[in-house]
Amino acid sequence: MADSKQDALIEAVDTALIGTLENMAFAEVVPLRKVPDCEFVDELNVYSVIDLIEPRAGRAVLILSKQLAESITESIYGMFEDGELGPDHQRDAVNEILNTLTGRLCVEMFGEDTIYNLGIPEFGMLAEKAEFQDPSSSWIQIDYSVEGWLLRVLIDTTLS
Amino acid sequence: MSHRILIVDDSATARMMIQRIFEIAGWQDATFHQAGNGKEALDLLKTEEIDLVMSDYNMPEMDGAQFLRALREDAKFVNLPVIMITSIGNEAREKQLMEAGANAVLPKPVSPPQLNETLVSLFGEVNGG
Repeated sequence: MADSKQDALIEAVDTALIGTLENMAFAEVVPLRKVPDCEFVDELNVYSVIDLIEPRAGRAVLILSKQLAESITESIYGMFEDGELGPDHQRDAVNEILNTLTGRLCVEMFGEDTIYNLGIPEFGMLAEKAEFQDPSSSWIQIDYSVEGWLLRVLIDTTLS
Repeated sequence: MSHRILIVDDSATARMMIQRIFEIAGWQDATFHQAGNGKEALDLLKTEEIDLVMSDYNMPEMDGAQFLRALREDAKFVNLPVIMITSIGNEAREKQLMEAGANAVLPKPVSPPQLNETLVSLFGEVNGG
């Protein structure tokens, strides 16, 4: 992929992720490539993946630690609901964040005039997905610190 | 009488957030019903009187557009107000959904002022309770 296209994609992911997490979970997002001395906990355990169906095939993946998933879920539900939060809440909250993030990313990338469609997000344990632990060169990897925890976004380059 | 609102979304997180956003927008006295997809929503509409539907677009089983079309094919629901919400919201999608019979289309995540503005345009009132 040409550098200019890749830079535009990365900037679009920044905008989409910051907008999504600030709006849904009031979470501070730091792009690590812009703040290289940022301190964060380097731990990744869970993922959520979503397919882009049209206008072309692609995939977006969110990878984060269980603790960050828990923290984001508590932020979202803490605003709204009392009661105990479990793994189902975390899975649902992370999937919803990826769904919203990818939608925003598509608007950034494809503009207002293109119809695009997404699949349904799937959540799982990172240990079970070798392709996300060691992504091939067709993926773009973008790392962030979110509330002091590492959060990784993988984008299939066919998205651009 | 308070409004009866049906929230349709496969994400429990999104349903919970939407209901609370209604409450923040002044609709705390409304009665809320929930469905996880279009099929569930159509089943629920057979038994419950609903004044407003707020439906996600991207759902398994029956997506929001299929649900909207099915709803508008039933004479009973031709005039039922439907707000579509979508993470894949751009002008092209909005046009498509409005042509399919939506009364409004909002992008995710929905904010209380955005929802309030839409509700005022549909119902001409701020408080739905």
